[in-house]
Amino acid sequence: MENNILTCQGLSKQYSMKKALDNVTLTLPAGRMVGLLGPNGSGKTTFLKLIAGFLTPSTGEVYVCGKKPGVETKRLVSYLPDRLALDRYERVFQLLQMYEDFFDDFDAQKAILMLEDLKIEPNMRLSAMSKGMLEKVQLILTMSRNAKLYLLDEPLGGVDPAARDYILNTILRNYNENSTVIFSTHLISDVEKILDDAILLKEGKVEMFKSVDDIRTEYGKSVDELFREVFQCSQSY
Amino acid sequence: MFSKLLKYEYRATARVMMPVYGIFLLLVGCTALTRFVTYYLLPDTLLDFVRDLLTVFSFFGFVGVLLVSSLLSVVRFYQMLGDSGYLYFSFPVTPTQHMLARALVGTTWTVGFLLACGLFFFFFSVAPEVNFSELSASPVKWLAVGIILLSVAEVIVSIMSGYFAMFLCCAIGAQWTQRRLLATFVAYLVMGAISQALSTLILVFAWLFNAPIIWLQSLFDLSVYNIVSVAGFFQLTIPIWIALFYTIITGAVCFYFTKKLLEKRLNLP
Repeated sequence: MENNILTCQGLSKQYSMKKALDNVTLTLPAGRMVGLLGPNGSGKTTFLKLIAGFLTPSTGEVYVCGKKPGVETKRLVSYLPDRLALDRYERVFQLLQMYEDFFDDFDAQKAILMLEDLKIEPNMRLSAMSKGMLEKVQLILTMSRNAKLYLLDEPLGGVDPAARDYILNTILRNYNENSTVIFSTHLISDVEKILDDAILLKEGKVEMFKSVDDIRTEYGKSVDELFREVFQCSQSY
Repeated sequence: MFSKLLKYEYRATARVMMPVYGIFLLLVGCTALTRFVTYYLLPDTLLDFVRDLLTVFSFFGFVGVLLVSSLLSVVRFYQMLGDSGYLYFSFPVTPTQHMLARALVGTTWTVGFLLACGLFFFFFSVAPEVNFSELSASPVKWLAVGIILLSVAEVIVSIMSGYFAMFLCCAIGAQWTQRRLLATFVAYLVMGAISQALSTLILVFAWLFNAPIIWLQSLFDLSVYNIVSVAGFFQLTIPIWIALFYTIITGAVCFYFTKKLLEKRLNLP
């Protein structure tokens, strides 16, 4: 367990009438790029939130570097939500200061360089930014930490195709043998080239957890093609 | 970590409170100016109506500022259980620290405002009528100071306890994925009803044992010498001590249950 970044044992989350996550058991070592794939409502966001400690499991357990989600794991985990969590009245440089104050592993220089690359003024107020720019700022803050585990919920969702490549390269640059990146996405064909492993979720259950190479070897098709096959919608017309 | 949390919470709330205080100060300044003009320069003119209108506005302004300073921390706590929670709960900070920071900041703004208004009122309305040299020679001056300090402590504790009660309502409301605001409001009504019932029960219990009568009768037995002693002070201020004790207990209970909900049943949307 000590060498594993993430350990889940029978992890489940029940919401009154619906089981969002059902008996997920898996371990992830350090140094992996993991794609969390599945259709809408399959439990991807719930899974990431349980690891980050924003939800408490109904049953089962989750450990990050051998610890249950809490104050200690928050020092190790960098989470990117699928919605805007930042205060719109703040300026970008104030958010950098905030992150630097609360996270010992925050690299302000890295953040400033990424802001320059994406042409975002540090003095700009968030209320003056477009949705895409806000998502970029949030991503920069998340990826500027030197965390053990990155949890990115739809990091490519609202950004333009040009920025998408930059973001993927940024995620790849943070890849090292000591940290693991888990990110959920629908844009499988774009991200497949950087993935080590893929977790396919269907109705809260882990349908498949394999390395991308094994998927290609075993099924003779790309992850994108396999995803379309597994999750195809029925045709009623 | 806690001091950093306080720093950012003060900064975020100051963004709202400073303009609100500024507008209120402007209103009070205009009111004071018209009062001066109408009393000393231009009495019995149409300005009397303006003066009276501004006085009414100042009163409503006072109530408004008090409401804003009291509720701002509650609103921010409620928002923290929504989308903002993805930022604040990602910090390596315990739920206890989050709660304490917001309650402390809210209490500071509210108490600070009440203190400023109280001092203003004292220096401009009460102080000119008071003979301070006579008061300082009185044997009961320390008793008066003690009662004032105890009352101020009760106000501060009540405000903090009120915040923890409101936080508990928000934490209960956050257990629902839909209609959270409605659930929070219902929790507030239910908790208010429970609090009223509990207070009534305590009062009925006290009257059953004639406790208020016994206390009042004991005061008649106090001589001027005894009343300025420590024992006399405690005897005289029993109701305030009981109120303080009750407020601390209710605040602690609300704090405990809110902490448990945030630790065991956090449910960000």
